[in-house]
Amino acid sequence: MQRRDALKSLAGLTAVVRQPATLFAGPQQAEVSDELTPLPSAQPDEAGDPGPRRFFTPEEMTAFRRLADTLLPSTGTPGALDAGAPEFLDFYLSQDGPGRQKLYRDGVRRWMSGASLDPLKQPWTPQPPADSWAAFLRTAKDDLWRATLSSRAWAGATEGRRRVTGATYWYPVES
Amino acid sequence: MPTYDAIIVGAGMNGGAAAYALTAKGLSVLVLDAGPLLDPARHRGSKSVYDLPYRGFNRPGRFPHITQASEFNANLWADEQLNPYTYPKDQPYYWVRVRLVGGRSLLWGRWSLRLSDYEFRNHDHDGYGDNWPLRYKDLEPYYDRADLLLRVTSKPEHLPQLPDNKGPADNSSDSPAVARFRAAADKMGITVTKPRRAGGAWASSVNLLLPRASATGRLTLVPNAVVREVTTDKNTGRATGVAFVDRVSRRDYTAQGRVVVLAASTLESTRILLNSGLANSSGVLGHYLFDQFYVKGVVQALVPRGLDAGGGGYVVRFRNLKDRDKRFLRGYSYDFGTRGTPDARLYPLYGEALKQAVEANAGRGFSMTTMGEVLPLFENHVSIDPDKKDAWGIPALHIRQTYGPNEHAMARDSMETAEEMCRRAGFEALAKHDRMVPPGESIHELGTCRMGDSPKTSVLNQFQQSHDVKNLFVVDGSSFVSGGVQNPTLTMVALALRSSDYLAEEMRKRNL
Repeated sequence: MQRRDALKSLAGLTAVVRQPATLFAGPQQAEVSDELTPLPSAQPDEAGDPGPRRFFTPEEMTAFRRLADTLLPSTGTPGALDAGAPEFLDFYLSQDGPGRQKLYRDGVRRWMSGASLDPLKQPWTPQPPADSWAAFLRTAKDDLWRATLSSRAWAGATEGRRRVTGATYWYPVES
Repeated sequence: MPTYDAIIVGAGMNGGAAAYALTAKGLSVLVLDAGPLLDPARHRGSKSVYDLPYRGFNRPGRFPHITQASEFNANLWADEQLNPYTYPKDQPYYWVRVRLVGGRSLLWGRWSLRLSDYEFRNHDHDGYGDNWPLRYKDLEPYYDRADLLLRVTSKPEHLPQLPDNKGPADNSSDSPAVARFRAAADKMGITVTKPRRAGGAWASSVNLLLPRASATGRLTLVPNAVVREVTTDKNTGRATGVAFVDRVSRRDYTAQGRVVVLAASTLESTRILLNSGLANSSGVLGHYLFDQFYVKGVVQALVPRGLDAGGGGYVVRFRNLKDRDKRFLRGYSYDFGTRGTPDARLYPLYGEALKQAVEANAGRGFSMTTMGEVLPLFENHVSIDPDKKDAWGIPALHIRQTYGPNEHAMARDSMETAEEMCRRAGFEALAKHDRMVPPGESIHELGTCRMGDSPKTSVLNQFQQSHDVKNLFVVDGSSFVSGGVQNPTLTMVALALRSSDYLAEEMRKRNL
């Protein structure tokens, strides 16, 4: 069945859909008012607070940008700074859980104190490194890479070459 | 108020299969689903990842247990705040749910593999666990029907451990990379075959099964109906219907039926039964929870330069068939894919060197995932959490499952064997590991309401009919006795079709 046929089938399905109130009587003792607090429901992400949010201090942000440029520099393709990846992660971390916030905060401070990037030369393992500095570096490398490849700058620079950035998006289903 | 011949709880693949089969036999059927009806014309759009608020990362903390959720499809997965569950602090369980009409059939991977008598008669084969109360030949005609309903394509291999499907043959040629891998495996005595998948642009209950049931004029579908419990006649003990809550208004309702068929998913059906205080004279309801363990990316490698890549395949189970491995019982399989670009994290590099390595190896990626059999154990079980309730006031589940030494030994062997297969194929391994994903993450949870011949050791008979309550059926993965390594959906559908035929015939004979 092609997609168009599938959609036709779904349209036909709506003809047999009934709502409880049209079919069943609720027990009298369960009668409730119409003033129930609405259930919390999935909100479209666009409804989230779009205002500026910051996680790092200005000094930390300067250092984080320097780290981002070191891990993922601009070459023939956009780097982390071109992609605004540090700024995106600054926003993201402002909403993140305390575990990752601490990992990043402590990690950037270690970076500011001149810690070595040598842990990034170790082979990858599925288990996060026990050492917090090594764990931070691996996380930051992954996040910066992903934020860069998911940026408009990357899509514009590599358009038609490889990475598909558009996909089916599902809006909240509440009815 | 109407009384239906059958009330089916859940409109996913199993509920859809039962609705299709029962309405075809002339029964009036009410299908209740806990979620709303998806309307692709209204709910589906297209976006670029850079236009998403979180660039595809998803809102922090939104899905702590659903690694499959992306920011593109986040609105389809069940909200854990509304639908909570608990687990022991040191034993995380990843319960992955969709609460929409159609359930997880809206998002499944469509792999459609048959079980064999290596699973149905597993106790006869290796002395462990329990046989199913049916054999492959009992289910084979229903596998044939399920294959055609789901439009499964496959390549016949005539293997006893993976019976062939009925649908159209996949005669496409392999890419050179896949052909080389297959040849290397063949020399090790291991069969590599084509993926066996349901076909079409979409393969869900809502486009394949429910429309057929609807066309009979005997289907009534009620979305947003969160079932609280099965109701019974106190004098006869028979099921009379279900009590449910409207998801939106939170008003309570009841529905009446001559037969109740639970198809709410493996753990939701068991939860309903536990909350109903029914069907547990054996004491095994909730027990024998298992799934299939996954080692995602057990080996990630590069195909040789100049060798065209593309496509993927399936490595058929090969352990513990004719011989007996001393390290573990049962076996595992893999699926694999080629042509990807290996993730940057796999390289021990950063800076320009990292970008160069990723660019140089674009399209050369090769990745395998292990899918291993998990032994059903009484200790792995679900129960009702005494303190936690969902947003509709229905007691939630406490889930306890861990993997044991057998699974760990198997995962280890799967890593070593995958590496050897890659080495023989001339594929350069970038990374290997044997770390299983947490229980539940494979979305193949099974058991907790198992079938069996004896009412003393099982909940359901071979027709997924309660030993205790004759007009109560449970037609989903909770009924499995063991799981093998095969993705379970096709077997669930075949079982639901078989049980539905039995149910209709019993009703015709007035035995129900």
